[in-house]
Amino acid sequence: MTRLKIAACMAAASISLAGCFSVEVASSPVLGEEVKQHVIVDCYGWYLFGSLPLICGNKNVDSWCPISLFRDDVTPQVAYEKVKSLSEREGCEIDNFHLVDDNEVMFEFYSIPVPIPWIVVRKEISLSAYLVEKGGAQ
Amino acid sequence: MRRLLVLSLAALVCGCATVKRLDGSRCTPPGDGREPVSAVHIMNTNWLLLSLIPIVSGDPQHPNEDACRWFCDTVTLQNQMSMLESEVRRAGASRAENVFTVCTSESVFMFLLQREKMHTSAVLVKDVEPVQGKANAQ
Repeated sequence: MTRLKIAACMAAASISLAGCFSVEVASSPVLGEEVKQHVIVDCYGWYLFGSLPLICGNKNVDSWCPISLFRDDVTPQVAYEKVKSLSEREGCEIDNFHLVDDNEVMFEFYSIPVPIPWIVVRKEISLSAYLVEKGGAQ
Repeated sequence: MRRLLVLSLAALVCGCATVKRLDGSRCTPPGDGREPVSAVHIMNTNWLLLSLIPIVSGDPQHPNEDACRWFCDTVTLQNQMSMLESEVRRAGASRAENVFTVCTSESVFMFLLQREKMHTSAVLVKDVEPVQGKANAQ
């Protein structure tokens, strides 16, 4: 029981510090002249019965709290809005848009899968796109 | 102690950067004046303690080798772009098209150990003299 409490505390501490929503931007000359930046947005979270959000990354990445409780931020719309706001800020258009929406339905507790799927589901969304100069979309 | 050793060895083997090259000659020609050279898949992985502290990561400067970087996180979009740039130079290509990056992660022992993976795929193309231009020149 003590080990369980320690594990729960460590998990809570790591989640609260690490966060589960990230936006990364990089540029490279090999992407082409018109491509200003390559951007990826990654977000994951845990859902009860696959639909009730328990904990996930906070879409407000500048917030003091990197997680959001009982709010669904792992959606394509949220990821897209993040890229859209970046493109508006940079004065660019979005191109080469790819989205991966993945679910892990077998929740594992200490590497032992809970034998009934869909009790706790881990959802992850990863969005990849180019920010291109206006009028330069391929 | 034994457990730690096993974990360290597993991390050493798994935390690596790889670049896979495929024949890209069958890829759809990207447009006038360019032809596909090869298709590449670049992957870099790391292990994090409590989703926060990097233990070991792949070495982006030595992909496909038994090389790793301890206690630093090299799984970044900028490093993926660096590996892509190296591959473009190695293949004699001029640029990369259809670049797609996806980030995934998995956990071991709940949040005690987390493995992050970043995948980038692209088609490398090189500039060729347009046939029309050649005909006009002749």
